[in-house]
Amino acid sequence: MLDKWQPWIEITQLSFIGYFVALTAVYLVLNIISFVVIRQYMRRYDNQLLPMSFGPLLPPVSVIVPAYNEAIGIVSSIKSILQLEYPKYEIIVINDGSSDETMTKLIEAFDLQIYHEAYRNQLATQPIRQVYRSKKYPQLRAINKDNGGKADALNAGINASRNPLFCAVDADSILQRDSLDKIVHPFIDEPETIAVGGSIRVANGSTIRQGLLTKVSLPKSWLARLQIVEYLRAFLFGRMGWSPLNGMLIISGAFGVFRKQRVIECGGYQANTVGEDMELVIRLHQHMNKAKLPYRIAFIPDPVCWTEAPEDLNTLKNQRIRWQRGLMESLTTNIGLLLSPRGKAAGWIAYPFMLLFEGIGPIIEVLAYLLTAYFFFAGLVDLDFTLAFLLAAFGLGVFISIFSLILEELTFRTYQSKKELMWLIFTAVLENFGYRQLNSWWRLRGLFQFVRGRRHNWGAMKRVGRLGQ
Amino acid sequence: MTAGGYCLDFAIDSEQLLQWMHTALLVIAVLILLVWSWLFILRIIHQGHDKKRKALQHHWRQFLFEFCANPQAELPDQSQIKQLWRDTQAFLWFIQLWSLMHRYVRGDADDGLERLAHHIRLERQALELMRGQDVRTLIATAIAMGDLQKLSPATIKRLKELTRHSSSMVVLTALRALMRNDQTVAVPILLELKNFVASERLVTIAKECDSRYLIQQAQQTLLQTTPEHAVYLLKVLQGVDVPLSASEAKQLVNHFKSQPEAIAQLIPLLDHPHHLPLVRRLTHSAELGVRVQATRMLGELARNKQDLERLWQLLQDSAWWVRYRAAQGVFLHPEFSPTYLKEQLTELADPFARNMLMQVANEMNLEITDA
Repeated sequence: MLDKWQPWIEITQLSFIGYFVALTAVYLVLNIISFVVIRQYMRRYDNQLLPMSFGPLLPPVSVIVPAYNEAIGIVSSIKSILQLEYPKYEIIVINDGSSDETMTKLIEAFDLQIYHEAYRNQLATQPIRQVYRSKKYPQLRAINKDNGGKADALNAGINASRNPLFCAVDADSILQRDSLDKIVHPFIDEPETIAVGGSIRVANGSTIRQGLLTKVSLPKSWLARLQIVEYLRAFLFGRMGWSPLNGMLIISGAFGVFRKQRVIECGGYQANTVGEDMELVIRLHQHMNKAKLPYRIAFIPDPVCWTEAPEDLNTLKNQRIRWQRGLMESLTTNIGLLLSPRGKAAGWIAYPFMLLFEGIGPIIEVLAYLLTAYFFFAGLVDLDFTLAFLLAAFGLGVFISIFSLILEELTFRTYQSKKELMWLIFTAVLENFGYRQLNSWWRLRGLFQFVRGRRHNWGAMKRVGRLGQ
Repeated sequence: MTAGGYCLDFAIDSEQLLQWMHTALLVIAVLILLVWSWLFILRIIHQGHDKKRKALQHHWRQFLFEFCANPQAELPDQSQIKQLWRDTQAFLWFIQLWSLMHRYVRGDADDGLERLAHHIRLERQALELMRGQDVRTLIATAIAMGDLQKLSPATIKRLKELTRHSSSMVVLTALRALMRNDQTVAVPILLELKNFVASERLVTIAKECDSRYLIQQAQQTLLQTTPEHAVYLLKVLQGVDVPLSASEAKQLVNHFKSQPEAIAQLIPLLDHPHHLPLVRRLTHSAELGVRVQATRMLGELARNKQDLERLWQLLQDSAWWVRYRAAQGVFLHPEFSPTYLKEQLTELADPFARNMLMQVANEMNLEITDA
């Protein structure tokens, strides 16, 4: 009996090892690229004393803030946007039919008054109920509309925006004062840039006053700490590695700037997906490749946007399931990019990577854990091999997490005390034992939900409310 | 490797696979130890540098303040200067702060900073650093050279070389230094840069020279260069308050008649009443970009009833931005009155034009009622 299954067991083991080796190779290459590029970036831009060579000629930006049941944090978030150091920008808040006090809070806090807008229906959206404009801050407008989802709200914001660049910001985020100034640099230096993503950091544990982040510290919650390391890894080496290859397939919905004309050309955000941010970026790649136009989708590593990370397992689980569904929806909707003749790095490297390692990765990872356990307990493989394989997998995870801390140390050193560094290293090790496996399980569930075609929603998140303090 | 000691015939030997796994494990363990140590060493180095640098910075910051307050303050001794020279990072910090202070001080304080720079031979030391290729160093040193009152021929030669550097920020700062030193050297270089440095960045440099001299030089370049470069140069000129005569404007419009993008970039320069006939003509252009800019300019310059009527027509244009600029122009017009608006609204059949008027009135805090 054992002899009959043995070749298959060997094949399975070799497949897992092959997958593991391929994943490791891609991660190592991304690490090397990030290391080189991030140092170049710092040399080029990290100079506080450079003359302000842009001044009032910076391109005007429309900041679009979609909000659904964000009564706790919306006022703080808008206040942080109002304090941006940028010469010309407008803010458009879209209340997507919230059932809580979001609209009332906005009206009271910013003295909103009914505004007769010559609204352009460039992208189809759910009906607009009313447009408001702040008496205190003329650059602030709010749109109250019927519920249609985040993508629909963003499209309404694009319709109302008047500037050539728009910046999509989550209503639960806090922006740094210089975030817009930094994120538009690629648009100025490389005019073919059509979208730029910024680095998102976890705000839990930090001090926020009047919509401004005044002190960065580690949170007490272990779950939030784990996410800090996760975000550092995802942004400093994940996206930074893809950016020079022009292979960025995702710009976080929490903070990204887009050239409006290009987004409208390809139909705006898609309302039938939960991963509207990633879906749009992949569609932009496809659109620009088909149109044979030169373009660039870039990333800046500066910590420009701070967001509240979930501190309870249930909210985190829902978030991760939603992200995985979004990823799969985005990839499958734009399957035409995969290995397309003009797909370049996005179609030939980034898309296959996303599909193989991020998309169906959870199946392989969970299966690897389960089969390894099964083979071991059934006596089909020995202890040496099982331990060696597991330790190698965990070890590599630890290596990649600590490497992202090195990138942080070489650049921004956000967490400055030795104690905080020790905690981050400890967290980087710890996340590989339990948290990573839990994440894989949630992502697998997300994959199943995608296959079953579950209906999308806004993905309500339980707020701790730190940003609203 | 397996319980039965089974080996694959078609693949690698299982024992060999286990050996490979052990080797991989060892490599990963070594890598982890290396990055761990690296991280700690980096943190220790950074903290050590920070401490040392803070002491040095405190010292030299005092000198800078003293020389701003009293240009005849006591000069630092040679050992202090050598200490600053030895630490390149500290020297770079010093010249950046020295440049920054130039932005805020004038008169005697400026002379004090110049005397200090002369004493520590700032130019010579900076020139040495400028011979390297580190972008950050080149930027910092080029900025400092722009703040020195006089530059040596060797520095000017090196700055000219740097205007052909691959980093746009190096080009920009070198050009700024040259512009402050001698505009006749810098303006031709500025006009030759073809879509290299973003036009928005170049404006601040262009603003530092005499605008009449700039437009004289630019006029010749505009008439001879490629359409793309002309559009780029016009974007730069938009940011500078350049006086353009009616004949110069007419000559340029005729020259660019088949390049609407260039005309659209030229219109913001036509902000004097003597350009009004030309602006009126351009509002009839079939090109959207030209029409938007011309409508905006007509709104700013319009004086007579005919202009108001033209703006009223443009309020019903097919493009949103033309309507928007026309609505702004209507409200800004000297002959505009609530009675006039009421009369016109009764005849206005286009509901979008009506909405646009309401929107712009709202933005301008004007009370109008929808008739």
